[in-house]
Amino acid sequence: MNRRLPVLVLLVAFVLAGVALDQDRDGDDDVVATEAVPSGFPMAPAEGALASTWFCAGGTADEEAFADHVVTMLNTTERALDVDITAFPGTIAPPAPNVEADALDPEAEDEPAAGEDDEAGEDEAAEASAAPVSTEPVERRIEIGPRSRVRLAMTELVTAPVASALVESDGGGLVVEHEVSSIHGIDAKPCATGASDEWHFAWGTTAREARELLVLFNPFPDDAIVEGVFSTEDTVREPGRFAGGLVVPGRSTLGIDLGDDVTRRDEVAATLRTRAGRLVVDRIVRVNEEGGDRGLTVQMGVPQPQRSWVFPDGLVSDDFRERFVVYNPTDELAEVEIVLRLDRPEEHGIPAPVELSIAPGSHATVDMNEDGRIPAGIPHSAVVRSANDVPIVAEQVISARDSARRGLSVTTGSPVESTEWTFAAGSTESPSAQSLTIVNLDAQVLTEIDVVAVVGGQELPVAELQGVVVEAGERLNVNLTRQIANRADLAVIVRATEPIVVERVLAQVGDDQRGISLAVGVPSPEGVRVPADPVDAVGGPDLGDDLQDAPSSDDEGIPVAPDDVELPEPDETIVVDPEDEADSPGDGDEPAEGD
Amino acid sequence: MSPDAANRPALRDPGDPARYPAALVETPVPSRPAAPAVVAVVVTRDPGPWLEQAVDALAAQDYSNLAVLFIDAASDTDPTPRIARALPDAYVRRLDDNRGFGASANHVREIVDGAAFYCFLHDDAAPEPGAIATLVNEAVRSNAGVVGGKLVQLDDRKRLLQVGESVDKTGERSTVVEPGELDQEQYDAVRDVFVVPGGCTLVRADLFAAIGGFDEGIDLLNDDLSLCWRAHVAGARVVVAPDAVIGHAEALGERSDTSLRRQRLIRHRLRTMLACYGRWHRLRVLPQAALVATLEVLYSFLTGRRGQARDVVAAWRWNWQRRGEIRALRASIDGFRGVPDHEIRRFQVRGFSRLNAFLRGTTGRGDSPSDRAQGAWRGLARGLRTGELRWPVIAWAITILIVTFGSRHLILRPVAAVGGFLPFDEGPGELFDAFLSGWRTTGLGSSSPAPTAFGLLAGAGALLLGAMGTLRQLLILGSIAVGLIGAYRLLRPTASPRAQAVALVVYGAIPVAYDAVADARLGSLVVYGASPWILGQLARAAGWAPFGPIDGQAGPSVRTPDLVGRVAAIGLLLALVAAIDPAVLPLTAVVVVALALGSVIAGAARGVPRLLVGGLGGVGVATALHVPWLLEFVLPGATWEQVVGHAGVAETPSLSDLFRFDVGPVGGSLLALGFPIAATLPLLIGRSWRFDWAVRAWTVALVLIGLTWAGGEDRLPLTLPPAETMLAPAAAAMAIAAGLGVMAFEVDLRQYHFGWRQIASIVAGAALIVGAVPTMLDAGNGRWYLPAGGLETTFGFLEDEAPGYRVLWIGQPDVLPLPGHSLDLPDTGEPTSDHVVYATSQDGLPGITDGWPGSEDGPTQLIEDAIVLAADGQTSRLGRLLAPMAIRYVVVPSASAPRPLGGVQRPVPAQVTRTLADQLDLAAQPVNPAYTVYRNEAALPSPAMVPPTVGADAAFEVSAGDLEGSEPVLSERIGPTTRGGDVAAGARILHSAAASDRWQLLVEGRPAPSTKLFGWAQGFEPSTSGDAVLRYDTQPVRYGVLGFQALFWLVAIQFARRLRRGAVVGPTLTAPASAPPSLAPLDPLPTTTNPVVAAPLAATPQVVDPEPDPTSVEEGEGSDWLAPAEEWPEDPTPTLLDELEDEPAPAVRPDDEEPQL
Repeated sequence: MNRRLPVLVLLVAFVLAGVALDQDRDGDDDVVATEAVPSGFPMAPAEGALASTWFCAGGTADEEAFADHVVTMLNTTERALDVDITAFPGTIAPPAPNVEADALDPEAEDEPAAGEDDEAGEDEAAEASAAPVSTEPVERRIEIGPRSRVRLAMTELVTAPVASALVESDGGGLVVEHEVSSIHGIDAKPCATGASDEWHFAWGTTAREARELLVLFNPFPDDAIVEGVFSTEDTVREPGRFAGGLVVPGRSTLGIDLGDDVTRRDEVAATLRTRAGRLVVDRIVRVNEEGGDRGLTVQMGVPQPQRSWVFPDGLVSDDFRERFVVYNPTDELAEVEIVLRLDRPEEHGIPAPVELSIAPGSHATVDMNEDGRIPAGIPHSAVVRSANDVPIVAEQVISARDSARRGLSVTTGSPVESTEWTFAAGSTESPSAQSLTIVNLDAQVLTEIDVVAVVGGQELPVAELQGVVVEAGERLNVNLTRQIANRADLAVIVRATEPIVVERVLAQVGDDQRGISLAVGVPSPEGVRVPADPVDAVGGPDLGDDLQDAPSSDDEGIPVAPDDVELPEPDETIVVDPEDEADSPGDGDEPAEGD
Repeated sequence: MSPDAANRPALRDPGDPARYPAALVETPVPSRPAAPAVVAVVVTRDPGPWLEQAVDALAAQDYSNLAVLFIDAASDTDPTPRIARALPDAYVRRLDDNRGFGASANHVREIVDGAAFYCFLHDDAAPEPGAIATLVNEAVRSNAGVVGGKLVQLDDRKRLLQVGESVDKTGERSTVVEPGELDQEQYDAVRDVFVVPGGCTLVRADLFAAIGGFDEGIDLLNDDLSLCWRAHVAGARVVVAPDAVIGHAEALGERSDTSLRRQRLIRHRLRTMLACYGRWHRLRVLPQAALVATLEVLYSFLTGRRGQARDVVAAWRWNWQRRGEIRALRASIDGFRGVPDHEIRRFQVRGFSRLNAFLRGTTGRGDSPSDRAQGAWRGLARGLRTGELRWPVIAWAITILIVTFGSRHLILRPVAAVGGFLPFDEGPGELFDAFLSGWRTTGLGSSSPAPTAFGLLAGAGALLLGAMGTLRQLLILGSIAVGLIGAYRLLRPTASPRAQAVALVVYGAIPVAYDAVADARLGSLVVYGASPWILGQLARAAGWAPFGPIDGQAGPSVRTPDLVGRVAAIGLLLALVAAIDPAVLPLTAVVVVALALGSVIAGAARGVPRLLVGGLGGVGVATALHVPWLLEFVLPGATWEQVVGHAGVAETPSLSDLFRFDVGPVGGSLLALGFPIAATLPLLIGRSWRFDWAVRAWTVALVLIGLTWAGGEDRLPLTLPPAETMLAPAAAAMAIAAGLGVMAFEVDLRQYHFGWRQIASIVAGAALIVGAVPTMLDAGNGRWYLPAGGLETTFGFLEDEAPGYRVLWIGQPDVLPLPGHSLDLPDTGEPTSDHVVYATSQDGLPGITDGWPGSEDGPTQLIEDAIVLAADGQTSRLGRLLAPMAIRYVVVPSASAPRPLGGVQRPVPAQVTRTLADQLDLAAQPVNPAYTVYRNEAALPSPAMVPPTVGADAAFEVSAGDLEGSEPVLSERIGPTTRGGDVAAGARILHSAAASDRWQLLVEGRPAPSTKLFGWAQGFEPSTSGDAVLRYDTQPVRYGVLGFQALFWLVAIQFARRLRRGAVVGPTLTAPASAPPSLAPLDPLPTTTNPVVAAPLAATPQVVDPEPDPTSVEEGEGSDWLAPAEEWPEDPTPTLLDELEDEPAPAVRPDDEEPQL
């Protein structure tokens, strides 16, 4: 017995130690893992990548149609890239023979279909009368020189009511955007770098003066079977077209005129899910309200709802209407906050967040003009976040209707921040105007940014926009039109020392012009991350301290740069004057708040 | 034997009060009828020292009418002087040649006349005084034709040898006497038997003449069988009279080797059977005999007794060569056949004696494994008689019932080919070819040594005549059985059947093995089967009591520790297990350390050095035995996961789960805590070595449980084997502790006063019963939750594919149907990304040759690189990158079996499915919800003829143009690494295998120039057209290395055999504690004290003319010792005369007399 006791004590201690560690394990489970970078959002392949693949789904390739599809390809590398562009001509799916939606909507029987009586009715007529088009993909190989940009209209390859483009290069460093344009307006957005089995759209409309076209692009060899659910302002619909699964054949494009299925609804949020296969889905909306919103927009759907969405730019005024549409495609109630950050908060204060409770499968629209918590004419950024971690989809709808700029832009903002953002499309050649909005979400760390233009085979630093400091939690607006005037092929890259979010505003400026486009750029995979908590960043800084003056916006809401900068010819090297750098706004001499 | 009468004063002296009561001495002896004349015929052949004993014994016979005839079969030395020493009046006939016992003994017919009986004796048989008289008496009384006595050991007459025997239909003997059995007069009843052993056989002379004497075709052994069988055929009774005791030296082994003995026994038994049966019974029995012989050959091969197998085959050949002789013998037997075969069959035992004897454990007297197994059977029989094995029998009955019931679907139907239960789709020949070849097909192929398992499985498959499916089933289910047997035998040295029974029940009820079945882990099952044996070997190596003499007394049958032999034995055992699952090697090292630690904790550290040497040495030996295969584990590209496998992503078990061994679907209940509770009893009340062993067992269990838990928690730098593998030795240790609890209850508890210990014992007992309940309940499933079907139910479409392709498997290791390599995907924060593995199979589903992953070094790594590129978004044309690798399908399983067949569910990380779904050249195939299958639309066949410009660039510089215009060539599969077909000059041939200078393309017999394509693949550029052969030439050095490997195995086996030669340091198992103590041998028979030696008449024995005149013999003339019986002097033996009849009745058994066996 003498030796029994110590032995038993030892063995029991061994067991107890294990139990204690086991309990410790249970505690470890409470630690929240770092949020993964969401997949499915456009991300520029690294320069050393084996290849780049981009999917540009939405657009038309009929000269008489309403969203001429142009693909813009930017080679950001120092070597030429061989690029294969495959155009996939598609068709518009005919209305379902027994449209459930019509039965549900008695008004539909005695009202013309969407768009029949609007000024663009000729588009549909042209589509209806068009001869059957070939759906065989057409491939073209082009070479894009180093740091060069090539634009290719789909009509050069195919003629079809809708046409998608698959862009493949033999290396990384390619950034692709696509533009749609017509007399209704313009829009330019990055193309997708991946397909998904679900796509969500928070905003949409099938109102009388609108036409919404969902373009389903299936570049894969196998068929995709799609189901769709649509949330309108009064109900949730599952049209008969999708009830049994809509087949999108492999290597094809199919357009769905949403008005055929969901008639006459001002708000239509959509979710498309595939039972088999994967797709890329774009939404093209043309709005032509008499005295109301007018414009053309294209937007890739959201493949994966997120906890937060960052919208760097926004404006509320008599001529600018800003709305946020938040969609909850999940099965849980989403508690949502829209956190707004006004420029010069020490002057304008901090608006209280907009709080929303969104039922599963439904959406909510907040019209900031009507809400009244944002002073008119004060630029701001916004973060739409889920307070209870239920992922959501958010879109910002901005319609401009002043004398110089008219148009409609819809953007999903960005769920990520990155140290490098690339914008392939863009122009400052009249009547185009282009500006950038940079927001530093970090509440503690300032960032320095460099803006370079990729033009004429070179990467040219833009004077006055080198080493510009963006303080913690601040935003910066840069008017490229004034910095780099009259440049038709203006692609830019914004690099920062810390992750930021950058948005580009394109506008057709002029009395007879129509079109405005807001779009976040394409982030580089290096340095990309999910903001830890964007709300903290936006509301974090102590507003009582000295703040660096942010570039102001002009009266029209278009951001302006503090100084005009003359852009050299493409073959000239832009030399950045260190003194100019030192004098430039946001110079980093002053420590940022919290440093 | 009148001349001898005067030499028996003890019998004739009426005044000897020691023999006769005084009253009888005074009574005049009445006149008696003459005793039948008996001639004792002793055949000698170079007799050893035992001859004097035999002669003395004959001299001491009290039969009055006995003559002794020695027939010497051409001994080198004339034995006459040795005979004359005690039997001066004996007759000796020396033959010129030795034709065997029977032929020599048959001379008696030529030289003796008038004898009523012949008593044939071996020269090493010494009948006790009165034995021959007893035989004659019984022959007369029973009217028997052949009478034998009770054979006992010459030097220990309390030990029985034979008391008559029966035979089965094939002539195989069936004895009731255990070898060395004590004679307690348990067989002392006169019985009819089929055959009496030949040491001393009394035969009626007329019967002997009628049946032709001994079969002269039988030179040695089984001559008695032939004689007795023919006596039966003639209608004579064959009786054993146990009162006639004959000492027998059984000295044949000292005059010929044992193989000769076995050979003669088999061939002469067969000869006798062929000769003695009539036609109908011969036709009926002969096929059965052939079947038994076939089984015996197989069994002999399995147990390594090639000599025995050879003898069986040779016996049939020997008789076939003498078929004419046998036919003549059969004709002569038909001449005196008086009893039909079916009557004779009634004297034979049913069934097959050889099988019955094996089951009863009466065959095999050596020390081979089978002999030891048979010894166990004998122990079982004895234990059942005494009741001491009641617990084990009940435990075994329950365990077998539950395990069999729980495995019924696995027994009655094929085991599903899922997970690690790969189909054994290659025959022994192909598998052996793969073993010899230096080419591995896993991954993209590599010049690397094949696993030793290929060779071992090929050998096992050959023994099963190519029934590889049966071998697979045996391996899966047999592992459980072997584990249970090992658990029972583990505590054998404790000599406590109850402890053994408890250990068996605990090990059988701990669900580790069944969880391994559910998860289809063959390696874990094999480790489960081996764990008790490994622990037992380690214990013996250390020598701790009762496994050795350290710190106590060695248990029964424990032999002298031989560390070298023990190291070899451990090494062999581990090598066999490691062939299936190499994880057993590091696992055993951990167990060794844990045992040593437990010994230190228990304060019983003596023996630890021996343990370390034995255990770690065994691991080293096992490692060496797997060279060259194990070299793959240390060469560049080797990974630790090749040894232990990849960790799955199953929910990490908690410590509570692990203490309950709840690592799978079976036995997951809190009730399973009963076993650990029961196993604590020896810690609480055990003393002496029982306490020491309890501490060791608990230390082993705790260390392994702790490591398993820490591994699951990612707290260790190394991946661990699956939990079922880790916990198998822990389960064995728990079984030890539980068994020792019973021993502590039996032995130690009585030393305490009544108190909590008694209550603890009751609790432990109840916990023991409760602990087994969960597994019992799960037995109802019938297959331990293994899926009901395998991949073949879903992937039948692969059979329609033209060969020359690979299937790439990507998924969690738990559900992948073959082992693979780690797939390091780009970090996306998904928790399971680290656990994805990939592997390839060739031309369809994985097979047995895919069961062991090859090296990751070399081109195989390119598969991972391609997948990573795709996952990183760097390509949307993964199919194009995989095309030169001939990967036609990419399969991503999310479960181990197709739905709804069950199986483990392990969804692959979304990153994988997303990556594959994003590929523009991978077309999804609707197959089964459990599998995502993509067909690579860009795939190339292998070998393929490709455009001449293809393949010049690096591995992933594959353009769409490279894949156009390719077509299959060399499509004829000649062997695993050989293909044939026509090729055209100027073409470039892509063989989608890692480039090696051992690959050759012979076009019309001439080698075509080879090249490396895509930087890794084998290519050829034939300059001529014609018939071509693509083949892999194995390096000659590979054969040399394998030869050395085989030599290593033989050396290890030889060293391991040394263990058998160790002296038993503990009591023998044949004399359990409850058996009566062995008696001291009897006093030896008096040998040289016979006063006859000094008799003046006995100066020289009479030597019989070797060539006597047959005529004179027949007429009874010319030989004074052949006087008629009536002239022989009277024998006053009263016991004989009392029952003599004037005329012996015909030696035919009355029809109405039932035979007695």
